[in-house]
Amino acid sequence: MGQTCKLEILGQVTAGNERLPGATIFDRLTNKSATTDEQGNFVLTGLCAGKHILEIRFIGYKSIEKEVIVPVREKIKITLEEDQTQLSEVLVTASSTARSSTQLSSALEEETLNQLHGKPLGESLQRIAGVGALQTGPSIFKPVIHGLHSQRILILNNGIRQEGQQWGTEHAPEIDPFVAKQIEVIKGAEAVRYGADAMGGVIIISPPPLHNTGGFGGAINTSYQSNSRTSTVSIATEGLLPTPSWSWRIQTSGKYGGDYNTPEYTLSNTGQREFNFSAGLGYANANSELEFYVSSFNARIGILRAAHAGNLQDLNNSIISQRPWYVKDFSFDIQNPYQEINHHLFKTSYKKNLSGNNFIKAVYGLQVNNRKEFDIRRANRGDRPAIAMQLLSQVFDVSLDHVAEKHQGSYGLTTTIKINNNDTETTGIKPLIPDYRQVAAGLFALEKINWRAFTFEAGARADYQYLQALTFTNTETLIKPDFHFYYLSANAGMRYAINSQASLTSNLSFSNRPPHISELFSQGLHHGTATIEEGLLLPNGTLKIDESLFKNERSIKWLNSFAKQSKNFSFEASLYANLIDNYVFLQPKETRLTIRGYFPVFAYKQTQALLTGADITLNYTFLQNFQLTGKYSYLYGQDVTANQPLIYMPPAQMDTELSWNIPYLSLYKSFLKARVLHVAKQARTPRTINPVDLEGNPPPNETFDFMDAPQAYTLVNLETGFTIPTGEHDITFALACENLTNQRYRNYMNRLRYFADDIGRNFIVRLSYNFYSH
Amino acid sequence: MKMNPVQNVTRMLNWSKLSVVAFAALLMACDDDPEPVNEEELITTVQVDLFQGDSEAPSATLTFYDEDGDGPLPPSFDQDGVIYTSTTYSAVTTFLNEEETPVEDVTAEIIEEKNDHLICFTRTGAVSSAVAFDEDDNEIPVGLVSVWQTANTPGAATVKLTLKHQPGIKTGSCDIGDTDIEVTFSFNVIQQPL
Repeated sequence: MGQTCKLEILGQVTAGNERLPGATIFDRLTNKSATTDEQGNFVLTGLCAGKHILEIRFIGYKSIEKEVIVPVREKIKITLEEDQTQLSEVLVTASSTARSSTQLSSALEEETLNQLHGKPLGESLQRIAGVGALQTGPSIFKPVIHGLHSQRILILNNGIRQEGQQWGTEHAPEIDPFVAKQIEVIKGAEAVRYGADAMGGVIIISPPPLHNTGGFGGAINTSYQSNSRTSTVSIATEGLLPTPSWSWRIQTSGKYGGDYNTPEYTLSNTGQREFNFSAGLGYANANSELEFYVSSFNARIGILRAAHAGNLQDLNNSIISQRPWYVKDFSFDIQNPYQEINHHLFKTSYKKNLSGNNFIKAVYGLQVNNRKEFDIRRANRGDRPAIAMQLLSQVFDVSLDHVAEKHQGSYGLTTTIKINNNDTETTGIKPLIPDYRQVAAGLFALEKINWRAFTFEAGARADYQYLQALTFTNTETLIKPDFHFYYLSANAGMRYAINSQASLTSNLSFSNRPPHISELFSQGLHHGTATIEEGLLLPNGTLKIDESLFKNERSIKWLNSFAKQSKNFSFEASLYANLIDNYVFLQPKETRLTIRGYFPVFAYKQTQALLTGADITLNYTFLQNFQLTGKYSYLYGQDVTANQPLIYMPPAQMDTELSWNIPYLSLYKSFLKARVLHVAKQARTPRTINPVDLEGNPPPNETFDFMDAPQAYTLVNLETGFTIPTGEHDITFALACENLTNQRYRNYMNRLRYFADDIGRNFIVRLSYNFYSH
Repeated sequence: MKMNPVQNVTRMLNWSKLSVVAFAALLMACDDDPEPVNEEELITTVQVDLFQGDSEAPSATLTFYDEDGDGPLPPSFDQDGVIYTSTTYSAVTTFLNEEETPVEDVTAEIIEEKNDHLICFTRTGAVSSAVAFDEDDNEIPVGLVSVWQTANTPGAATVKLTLKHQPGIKTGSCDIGDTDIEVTFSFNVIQQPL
């Protein structure tokens, strides 16, 4: 203190050939800021000698950071690139022509992802308004976008449609979140670009671009959390090959953790292991790009021992009891039941600029997904999986894109081949879904036109899918029923830039989805909820191949949003309504007496569903160093035909965060954050029926739940951190406390809520070392 | 021959469908067909033989049979012989998988894992008690052999038999573990002839 600093930085901000007035220059070290004048010039005064990191921001442009060593001799030049995801001027960059620009999307950027290191993908995504998760315990999170999940959500992992066993509610996406530099969620139906699986939205996982120019660099990230004693390590390095224009990246990560605990007891057998690996090789010159990428995801996840209900009586006992019936001291061991998942991906892509502003892009992906689920079994069969499936899939996509100032568009073909095999020889148990073969192809066209303050877009897609199931009749005769599905999707949207700070967007999409193999053929007992599930083709519990038993699901989604962004304040509000005809869902049908006691039978049915709601995201910067961020979402889900609420819809949620960028310390990026998450009680639920009340009685002819929705809860999280720059490297340290008050709660969207509380207080330490030399 | 656009598209669709199916056929040709599943862990039958005194033949047999596990076929109950009042019966429980040929006696697996299994009995009506007789290595009941005492007055009775799988956690409590079998036998207890 007391030291007077009188140095300054002079500079100019430009974009293309234009000078940019009104851009903000922010010094992260001192938190001083300046704004550019009419000529794009700025001056930052009162600076001390040394390294400063400037952040340059302007609406509609990508924010950049620039390192400046003060004193500087000359005026520094800063060039900003336009950002299509921002508001105001909509100029679409080459990489995003294939995407809709009138859809609502939100992204988790690198900085946020860094603070989520060690978390499963689905848990991280909950930071986006309107995105929730269907959970099975503390480490299995399935993303839910505006109330839809599983086969209605598409995950695009490094440009490849993720093909795993998405249909299962306890099957989380098989992706290592450490590969991502950015995760974007498109909340509208993007079926035109990505096919029927994108009816509910798309999650785009983008690794950093391979075409680095800076040479060798990398990062090591480590984290440790006290609850479950989970350690996570990720190492990534990248560099250039001696041959010009080639660059590479190798990344690996691992996770090792034991039992989680609630405020009152251990959640026995909820440990997990993960080992992941990825490598990329890229070539780029002025006209073409070629990429190769391999990744491997391997996980073993323990399932809460007590969450295994042998029959309705067991489920009833678990619901009545305050504690799970199996609670042991903390352990790192994983015993039955557990899941073992391996997902391997090979991808190659090629992009070539053609004459004019056209380019062609081809992508091929090969994925092998192995899923084994180990159950509690008799006579030493515990080391044999109860479910063992292998899904082999190949995707091949080609698109031709053009980018002009006034119009952009994309035309393309997408193809998928899937082969799913059950290893019943090993399991000795009838599979939940049969072996199947699937071949699908889609043709799409998308076009955008910019006219004054408007952008209009329209797209259409035609799909064909061939599905062949290999299954058995009651008399154990192999049959191979096959189906041909033809379906269309379409999309029209508009964006209006009211002024340079505000815009209005509206998008109407129509999508069509043939039922998934699991919705058609499912047959078997799910131990998590002691229910027997039966597909659309099993009207009386026995297989009947009859195409009149089902129809394609049809969704019409209307999504509107208003966004405003000024120097200190940004705001985005969206309103949506999704009307789905032939919505596939599970409805109780009968109570069945078996040798293991009574089980409710849930049959897949189709109804008309309405999902409508609103999301609000706001961000307010005040007193220079304080930032208030709020994310609020509400969803109304209704079975229109039956006139009752849909089950498992995320309750209203308010996520508020106050952060303070601490200016006094001579540390870079030091902050203190408090986050308060309030989750309301889901008031709109189907009626509750105690499991034992079903014994010997038929269920009501309506959806029901076995337990009332849990009470509302509020969680308080604190986090602090800073970065120490050391030459070309930097070290970042962060300390967080989640569920600070050690609140006991249960989450409506967690399938384990029937058995146990959610997790208690959790301290997290993160340490990362960046040695990017560029 | 000139075709209108609709015919054109239809032809293209047919062509694409054909090629896709041909491609698929090629792809699947090398693929093996699945075999029917041998559900070796299935228990189709619970049989309780009730013995009186030292008799070598059971005086009554209660059977529950369900051939398709979780499937839609309804199970059946059967009673052979009569059960009398004021009688102490030794009840021997047997579990079978009758889908296997020859019929598999699953009881052997339970005996082998007796330290992890517990059979519990819940009675109502004219059976006054039903308790496990045998014990495992830790002197905790198993229940494959049990003792049923009938009431002095005739009437309807039920005995619910629950087989709990409790690997590593068996304490003698029926409230923990997973239910492998839960069957309720209903029968009439008849006046003992004088």
